[in-house]
This record gives sequence, structure tokens and C-alpha cells, in this order.
Amino acid sequence: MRARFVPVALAVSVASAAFSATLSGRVVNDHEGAAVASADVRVFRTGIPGLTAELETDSEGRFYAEGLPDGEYRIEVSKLNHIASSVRTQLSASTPTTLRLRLIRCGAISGRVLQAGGQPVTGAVVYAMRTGAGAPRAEQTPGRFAHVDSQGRYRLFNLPPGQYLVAAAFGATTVRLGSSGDAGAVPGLGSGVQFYPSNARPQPFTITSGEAFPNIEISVLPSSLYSVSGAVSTSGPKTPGVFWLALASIEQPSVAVAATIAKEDGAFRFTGIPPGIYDLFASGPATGRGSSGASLSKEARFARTRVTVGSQDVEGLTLDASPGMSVTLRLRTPPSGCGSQAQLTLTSVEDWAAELIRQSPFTLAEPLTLAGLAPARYRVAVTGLGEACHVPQETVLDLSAGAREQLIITAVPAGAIHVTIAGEAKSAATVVLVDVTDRSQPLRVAGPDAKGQYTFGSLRPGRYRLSAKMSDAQQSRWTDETSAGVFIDVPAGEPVRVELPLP
Amino acid sequence: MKTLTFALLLARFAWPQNDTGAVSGIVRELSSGQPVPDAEVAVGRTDRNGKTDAEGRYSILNVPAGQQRVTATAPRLSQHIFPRYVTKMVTVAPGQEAAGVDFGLEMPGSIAGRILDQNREPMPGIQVVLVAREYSLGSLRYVYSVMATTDDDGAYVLHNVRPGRAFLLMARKRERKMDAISPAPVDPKLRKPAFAPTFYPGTPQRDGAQLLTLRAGEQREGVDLRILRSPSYCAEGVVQAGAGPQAFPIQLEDVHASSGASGDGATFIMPTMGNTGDDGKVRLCNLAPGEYRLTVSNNRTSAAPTIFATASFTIVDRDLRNLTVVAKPVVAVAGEVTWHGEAPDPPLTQKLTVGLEPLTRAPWRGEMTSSNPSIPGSFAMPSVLADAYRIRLNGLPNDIYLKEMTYGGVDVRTEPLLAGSVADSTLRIVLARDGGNIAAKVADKDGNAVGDARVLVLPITVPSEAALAATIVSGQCDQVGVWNSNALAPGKYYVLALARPHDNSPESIGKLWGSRTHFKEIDIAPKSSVQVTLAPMDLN
Repeated sequence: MRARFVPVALAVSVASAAFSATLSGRVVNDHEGAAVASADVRVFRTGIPGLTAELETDSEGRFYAEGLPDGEYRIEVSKLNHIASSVRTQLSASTPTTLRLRLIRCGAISGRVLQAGGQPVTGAVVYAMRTGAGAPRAEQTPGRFAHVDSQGRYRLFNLPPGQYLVAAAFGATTVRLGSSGDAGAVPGLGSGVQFYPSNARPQPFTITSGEAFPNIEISVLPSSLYSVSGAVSTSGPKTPGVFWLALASIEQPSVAVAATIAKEDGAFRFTGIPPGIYDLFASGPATGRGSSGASLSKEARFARTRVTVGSQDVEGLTLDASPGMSVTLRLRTPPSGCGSQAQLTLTSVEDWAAELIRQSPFTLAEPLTLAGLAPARYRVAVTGLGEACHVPQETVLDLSAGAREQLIITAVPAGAIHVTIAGEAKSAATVVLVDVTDRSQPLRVAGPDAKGQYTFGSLRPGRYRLSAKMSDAQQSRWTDETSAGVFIDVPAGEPVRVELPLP
Repeated sequence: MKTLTFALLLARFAWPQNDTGAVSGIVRELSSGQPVPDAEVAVGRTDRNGKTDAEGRYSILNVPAGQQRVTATAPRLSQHIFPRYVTKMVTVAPGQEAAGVDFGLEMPGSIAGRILDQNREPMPGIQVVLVAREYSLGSLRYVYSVMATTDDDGAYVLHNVRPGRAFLLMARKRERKMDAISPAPVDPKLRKPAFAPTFYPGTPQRDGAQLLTLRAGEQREGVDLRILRSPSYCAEGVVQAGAGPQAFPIQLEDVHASSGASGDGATFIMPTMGNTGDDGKVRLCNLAPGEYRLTVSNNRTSAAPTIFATASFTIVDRDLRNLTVVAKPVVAVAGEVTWHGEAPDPPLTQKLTVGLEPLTRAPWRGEMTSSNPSIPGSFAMPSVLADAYRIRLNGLPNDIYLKEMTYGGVDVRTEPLLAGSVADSTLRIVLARDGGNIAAKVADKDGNAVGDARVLVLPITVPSEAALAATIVSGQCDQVGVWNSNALAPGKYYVLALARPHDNSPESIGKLWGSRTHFKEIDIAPKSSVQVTLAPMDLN
């Protein structure tokens, strides 16, 4: 193979007399003003499909392209573990354009998970749980959960600005059971979920821009431990395969305290369970397994019950597993603006040690009936509605108390904010938009054009905070200062016009 | 408490069932000799098992008499430390205890380092993979072993690295998803340089790469790598399946190494996934020079696809256009099992299990590629994807050997079966009853039996290391150094005993190849048994 491996060409040029505009710029990080090397700079020309140029910043954070056709451009800057930023600009042969862009780095939390004697709690999984609308949720996104190593070390990263709780699941975790088919309690510690620094008073970590919290030691203390046992029965025809069970705390159901697999005859036993009030979930028969638990067929059966572990073993529980439920979903959309095809995703808020995720294409005019749903609490997401349409609030389909016939999801036209930066050097600003209604939504970062204007489109109606600062300002960490910026209620449909002074 | 337990064990063992015995011993860490508590010891194909105590001791009662495969597995320390195991063949006598069945577990090693780019920036989200080299089905193959992903600081740790085995280390950026039509600029000069899969210490090719071999328990650090950049190219083309334009699920992967089963287990790494456009068209970009494999199928929930194709293409120094992939419907693989020479009278009642195992991918859910023919008999696998397979034969009686196995004229004992590659071909399995066997006894030079040794039987006439690896027959002695082979084709063989396990790596096979003329030569006559006494050799 005659492959050539070349030094990276950072400057590109289109050698043609007709094209003569040049674009250059520098990317710095938000918290220090230091150069961001190896960031992707994607150049789109308005009205032209595809990318006009792909650039990459050098070790000084600089990028450069020449010979671009005159016109209006959108430039997107991104880097892994950073929040992407975008800017619109006019390029012309007469005036070279130089941009200055700030990238907000994601945060990191690292440390060890240790027992009282200092030994590592091997096999534990640590989660960064984002607080926001609803209960803190554990995500299986790279960086937002971590396996501890043989020394008990973990590292969480890829954490966008926001507030996080840190918790370690140890013992018979769903991830371990799903990955290996075998997971047991830790001798002396059992199974459980330990928040930092204590389950009674979890401490939130606030990340605004590039914070790193090292040496966050999660101590797992011994507790009195009990067993929870019983059997799953099915009244219907016996199908081959076994049931998977999970025990989750009622306050924090997104990570199970323990997971286990029932025997062929339905008998199950959790060991090493600390006192508490739990929901016990059963689903099966399993057709396979993955890191989120058992794979289930459409004929799967489910059961749930409340279990209180006090000062003794809980024995003789019986769960009668029933077939899944059917729910019809309808989407109400405004008369125009929404696409005709969307994607529906149901994810369980509760950790059942089973793959309860359901995805289905959704044709807007037609009701969609989903069968085989567990008696779980599902989070409903509708995507692919297009830029002009949104489902305003997080929708939860709660089947925990029994079946319901239908769920109506209402979409509304998207909102927009036209920002104009006031004052001198208005184009050298960076603007940040934070969704205050649901702080778990991604932050948006943009640079205004030469007139100091930028439009944030496709916004979910709700409350936002808008703030701006000079792109070359050296001070750091401003995205989460509630004092800075202005609060804006974005209605459905009509864009809001805002004039924002630079600080 | 311990005394009481022991007394109970003795009491139970005082009234054994007629046809059972016991197995006991100690599990230690091989290099340090430290006892391993909480290791699991299990008797193969039975539910008899036990765990080691704090001194590493175990004892398993009511073990069926006869030759048993006993496996000791290291305790599960963590998610990433996959348990290592050691097996032994133990002959259990009724009413007796096979004591001193001791195991030495090798602690796996780990490799840590950082992946940087040309700016010395840490590279997050990079896949770091160990690649094992091994002879398989007549050629040297590169298969994935363990994998890790770099964190925000570009750091990775590969756990569970098998000690004593030479690996290549590769770092690459593998996207999870891809667009049908990439938006990459038309002019390659306006594209960002591609990330080339890079082998340690910094080469785009396997040939210039350095082999890494760890000692037991070694934690190697500082294995840093700067990932190479190269011009970025696209491959444009169309996927067709005969029934007009449509969208197909596609998978793209580089072929420096592949997923699949190997002598070390099986590792499967997700390719980059996507769909073609509704017209079947694709434009796949960000490709560094090299060879790629595109896999096409149709999506069916909880069932295997009904059409399939793989296409290989090579990017050299320009974009590739007019790539056409024609997805083929499933093919039927018909087979027959026949006797060479006279058939037994009465006919055999056993059935054979013939399984097709995909060579470079995980089987789809619902992909049924096995059959249970009578001996003799015919069979059919009606829906096999047009792919490469390894054939697994099970249920062959001990006194019968596989004389031939061909598909479309290809010897599929030593080459992959390419389903649908030859029209109207039959998988022909020819069995023979005129084989002989080897009864081996392994003893040291003073005549003391050496337990647990491996006995290897090599045909004398093989043309290459790859062919040698495909035709080795091996087995493990029991605790008193005895091993009896199944039936082997009459002919001349080399036979030797090794104290340590061997594998199909070029290092291991190379040593056998290089010293084969020093091995004992035997001639197996039809329906004979050859007695050999062997001293364990050390090929190092």
C-alpha cells in the first residue's frame, strides 16, 4: 500500500482568482483564555449543502483558510469534552475576517471508592447524576459513568455546565450483571448505592467551565445487611428463560441497589441489602443481556412491588408477572411547522436491570400503539420534529400504578431569540444561552456577526438566561452566575428581540 | 467453625455414592505462589463446584467417576478484570479422593498510557485495542483482544492482558455512527486530515509495529502514542439488492484486525453503523489510506437478516467512486455425511452437530446455522448469509475421524467456508473408521509421571506454519500423565509433550515448526494403538 502520512496542513487554500476571501481566527478556552489546540472548525456557506471547509486549530489555537468565495458563512467550533460554539459571519475579498471564539470545557470529577479500612471497592460503578427537572438521573454516556479500577480509582468527565451528584453503585450492580451474567455482593459491604459524601446529604458539584474536582473519595461504610428473597410466578403458559430482578431505592430509582437473576423455577434471592424502602422490579424471560440488563422479547412479563427492609431478612415474597401493557400515544401539533415523521423514544426512569428502552417511528397524523410496556415510569422523548417544533416539557408516562389507555403529547412551535449586542466591539463577544426551565438541556454558545447580532432558533418554549462577555476577556466561569445576564421567557412561535449590553 | 465444617465434609464423604469420588487441592497465584481465596473450581459438564478458602484450599465431593475436566477460575475482582482460568484433566476413581489437584493461576497484566495528537493534545474517545496474531484456518489472522477508550486526558488502561503472549497495540478513532452522505468538502485539500489507525510505537502498518509481551501481573505504564494524521478520502457508491432502490443498514470497519472468536476467547468491537440513503447511495468520508470492509444487510427486529454482503475496498491516494455492493439473498448450504469405506453394521445411532460460526462478526440474534445430521445422512441449512465461516463439528464418536470436509472443492478444515461462493455446492463430510490412536504416557527422565502436560500430534507432511497450526491435534494429560487420543487418520506423525499450554500465535507455532524434526516420529497403522512415553519438552 502506498499510503502517505503527511504533517497536518492547517491552512487550506482554493487557488482560484474568483475566490479570495480569507478567514482566520483563534480559539481559546473560556476559563483561562488559553489556546485550544486541535479543535474542529467547520465552515458552512449559507445556501450551499455540505461543508465548504474543515479546519483544525494548531497548537496556538489558530485556524486559517484562504480563497473562500464571498458570502455568508456559519462557522462551528467543537472539540470533544467541550461545548460546541457557532458564529455567523460575512466573508468578502475586501476585508479579511478574523474571529475570536471561546470554548467552554466540560468538567471532571475523579477520586477513589474506598472501604472504611482503605481497601478499594472493586467492581463499583460511579455515576455523575445531573440535577435538573425531575430526579437526578444516571446516564450511560461516555465519561458520565466510570468503572473503578483495581485501586478503586474512577474518573468522570464530559460534564457540561450544571450541577451533579456523584454516587457509586457497588456489589450486584446492573452493569456488572448485564456485562458478565454474574454479580454478587461485596463481602462485608453488600450491595448498594453510596452518594458523596453521604446518602443523607449528597453534595452537589457545580460545573460552569472546565472545573476539575480531584480526590473525591467516596467511602462505603459497613451496614447491617439483610437478604430479600421470594419467587416470580407466571399464571400464563410457561416460557423458557429466566427472570431478572432489580431492587431500587424509592428516592433514587435510576440506579438499582442490587440486581439478580432468578432460577428457572422463579426463585430469587438478593443478599447484602441495607435497610431501606425499595421498589422490586421483575422482568423476563430474558433473551440475552447487555450493560443495562436483560434483553426482553415482546412477550416479556413484568411485576413490581414495594419492599421495606427493616431489621431482618425479607422472605417469601411472591410476584405474579403479567404481560406488558398497551398504550396509545397521540401527538398534537400546531397547524404548521412540524415535520410529518418523528422518532419516539421511551426510556425507563427506573433501573429494572432490563433493556426497557423502546424506539419507534411516529407518523404525526396517526396514533401509535405500543404494546408490551412494563409497569414502569417512562420518560417520553419525541425527536425529529424539525427545527420549528418542540415538545415543551419532559413527558413522563407513569404505568407504575397500572395501565392507562392513552397519552397525549402536545408539540408547540419553537421559539427564537434575536440578540443584538450593544456597545463597542460588539462582534467580539461570546453569547451563552442557558435553558433555566430544564438545566439538563445543553448550553448554547455563539458569536454574533459584525452587527453584533445572532439568532438562537429552534428553542423549546420556556425560561432562558442570556449572557455575554468579551471574547478576549481573561476572567473565567461566568455561565452559571445567576446574577449575570438577563432572564427571558421565550414563547412559542414569535421570536423575542433582546438587546444585551456587554459587561 | 472451620473444624465443624470439616467434620461435616468427612461425614458426608464417608458414605459416597457408588460411582463418585472427590477432587481436592490448592489454588495459587503462579508466580508468587500465594494462595488465591474465593477462586471457583468447577467440574466440567456437572453442577459440582466449590470455592477456595482463605488458604486457597478447595474440595469437591460427589464427582462422577471417570475423566473430568476441572477448571479453576480467578475471583471476579472487577468489571474489567475478566476471570482467567486453568483447566486440568482429572481421572476420578469411585470412592476415592483425587488429592493434590493444585492449580496455578496467572495474574493478568495491564497496559496504560496516553494518546496524543500532533499538537501533543490529549485525544479523548480514542479506541485502544490489543491485537493478537494467530494462525487460523490456514493463514495468519489478526484478532481483537482487550480494548479501552481514552478519557478526557487521553489516558487509557487496558486490563486483563494475557501474560506471555505478544500483542500489537493499535489506537484509532472509530465513530459510532455515520451519515449516508457525508458533508465533507468535495475538494480533499479542504478536508481536515484523517486520523489514521496507528500501531505502537507510531506506524500506520502492522509490519513496523512493536510487539508487547507482559509478565504475569505486570502493570506496564507509559505506553504513549501519537496518533498519525493522513490525507482524508471518501468512498462513494451504491448498494443494490435487485428489488429497486432502497435504504440498507451498513457497517464500516478498517481491517487491520477483526472481531471474532480466537484461541483466547472472542472479542467483538462495534463497527461504525449507519444507513444508506433511500436510493441506496453512500458517501463515506474521513478515511485514511488503508483497507476497509463495508457490510450490508437488511434490518429485521429479533431475526437475522435475509440479505447480506460484505465488500472490501482500499483507499490509496484519492477518493473512490462507483463502489457497487450487491447484497445477496441468504443461500442454502446443503450437506452430506458419508462413510469412507464400509459403513458400520449396525448403523450408528449418534448424530453429528455441524455448526457454522461467522469468522469476523458476532452472529445475529436468530441466525440459525447448525444442523444435526445422522451418520451417514444429509442435511440442509436453508438460510445462510453470504459470509465466511468456521465449521464446528461436535458429537464425533472417539473411534471415528474426519477424513475430508470440503465445500465447492475447498478443504474447509484448513480454509474458511465462503457460503454461496460456488453455485450448487455441497458441504461434504467424509468420516472414516480405519483410524488408529495414540496412548501417551508423560514421564520425566527418571520415569516419574508428569501430570497435566499437553501432548501434541503433528502430521509429518505439512507445507507451512499456517498449515501446521490448522492440523495440530492436542490434548491434556490427567494427573498421572496419561492421555489417549481419539481416532487419527493412519499415517506418520510427530508427537511431543509440553509442560506449558501452547497457542496458535506465530511465536508458539514457529517454535514447533523450527524444532519439529527433534520430535518423536510415529507411524499409526489402521485400527492400531500406538503406545508412546514422552518427556515434557521446553521449546524456549
